[in-house]
Amino acid sequence: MARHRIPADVLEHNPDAAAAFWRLYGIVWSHGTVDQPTKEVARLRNARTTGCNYCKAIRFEGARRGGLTEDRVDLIDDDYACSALSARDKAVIGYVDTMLHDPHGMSSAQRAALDRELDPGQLVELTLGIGLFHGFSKIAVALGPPPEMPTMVVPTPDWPR
Amino acid sequence: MTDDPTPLDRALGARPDLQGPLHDLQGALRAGPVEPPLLDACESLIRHRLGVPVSGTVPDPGDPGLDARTRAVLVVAEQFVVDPHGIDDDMRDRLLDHCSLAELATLMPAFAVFDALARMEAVLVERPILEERTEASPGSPATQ
Repeated sequence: MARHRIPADVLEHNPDAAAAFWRLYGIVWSHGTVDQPTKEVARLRNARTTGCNYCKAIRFEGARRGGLTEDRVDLIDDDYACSALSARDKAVIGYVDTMLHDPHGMSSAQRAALDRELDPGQLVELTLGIGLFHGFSKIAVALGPPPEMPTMVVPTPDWPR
Repeated sequence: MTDDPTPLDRALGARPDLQGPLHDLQGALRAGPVEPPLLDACESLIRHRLGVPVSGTVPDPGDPGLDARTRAVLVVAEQFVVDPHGIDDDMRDRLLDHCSLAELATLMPAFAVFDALARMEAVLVERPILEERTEASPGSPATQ
């Protein structure tokens, strides 16, 4: 039995760091050059792999507006490689899996697939996004795993908020 | 810390619009209430667990010479990298015994950023795909 409980809003206890995070996250999401559905596919793949129920439940409305339907989200599963997802989505999901499971193990085929879909600047943006999705979803788990919750469409992070 | 650009800095240089805000976040974490040597120890441990080069000594959370606060933080940092689902109530209790909420509000995002940067370094720098691609293919695929 826990003697203490870490409050869910603990990150607000360092307001400078919280503001710096939201600025970076807002720029990645709303001022980047990678389309929002592609980043949302990466975010949801991480959410599923990391096991963050909150991250799995939310959908950013910009990605929804950009065409990321629930039918497409349902394909981001174990059998994604054989699914009707686009080559771009499959390359991104494979990249997420590599970063999360074996960041030293990217294959030549993966590199070629990414090369066809993203320019070097876009690759940096997507890579930073995946790193942030992963690290900050781990915080949600580390504080005490959130319960399962229904799908919710929420505003896309932006800066200024 | 040094001002010399790291290999990851050079890779991130492809996107200065993101590099600046990322450095601001790193700076805000370093300016927080957690002592820099403890943040350095956490960063070294996280990088080591992800197989990314570390300058200096990698701390061992099981070292009996560590004080209770350092041990409590390093145990959670290590579990954060390996599997955050393995962080249990005892670990969280020990963390709260030794850290204020403002310190936790620095440590948790620091773990996340150290983890993210180590993974980025592994994929962007260790096998320098950006440099190879820039030389081989300067064109930009269209954004969907």
